[in-house]
Amino acid sequence: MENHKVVVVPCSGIGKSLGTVGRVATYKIIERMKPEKTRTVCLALLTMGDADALKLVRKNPCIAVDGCPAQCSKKNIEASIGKLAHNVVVTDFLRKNRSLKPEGVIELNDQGDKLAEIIAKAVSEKVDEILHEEKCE
Amino acid sequence: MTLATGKVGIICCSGEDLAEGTISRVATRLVLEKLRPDQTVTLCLPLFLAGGEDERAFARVFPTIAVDGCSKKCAEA
Repeated sequence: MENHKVVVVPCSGIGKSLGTVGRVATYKIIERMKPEKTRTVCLALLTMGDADALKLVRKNPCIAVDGCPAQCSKKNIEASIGKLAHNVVVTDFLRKNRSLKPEGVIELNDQGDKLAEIIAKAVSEKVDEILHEEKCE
Repeated sequence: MTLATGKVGIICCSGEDLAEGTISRVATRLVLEKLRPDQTVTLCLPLFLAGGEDERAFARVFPTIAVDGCSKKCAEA
């Protein structure tokens, strides 16, 4: 079987800190936690219908990391007929971790970074599960 | 979305896969937060590209500046 990577796609949200939490979580996964098993793609490129971006999300399992309930990443992966294997929304994690108040868009505060770390760990576990299931198929 | 007038829209690509995308994002936020906070507004690019009528109206209502990270120019497009 071809060695697939999981494509982790954050939402590009820029209006609130929630988008930055998802973006930082994604970088924690692809650069530190699961660098050999994951990569990302520009969501705008996917939304524009770039051929290479479309090929990537159609061949590899994808995880959408959205900041808010608009779920732009999830919706765009689905609209691209990508292999959406899992999705998370930062606001769901925020509800479970009410003591953490993310602030900042250019740079997250410490609480936002902690929330990103929690999300990154949860998504990393999912990456292992997805790749394990693919291996067993 | 409430559309105010007399402001300039700034839309950046926020490209996640390239450092240049992060630079476009940081530059945009610097304009919004520090350099021209009362004169500028922004919108998430995927929301703009795939959103409803309100989101698409953004570029019609505001004179808009695109800030792109690479030659694919997703924000300009």
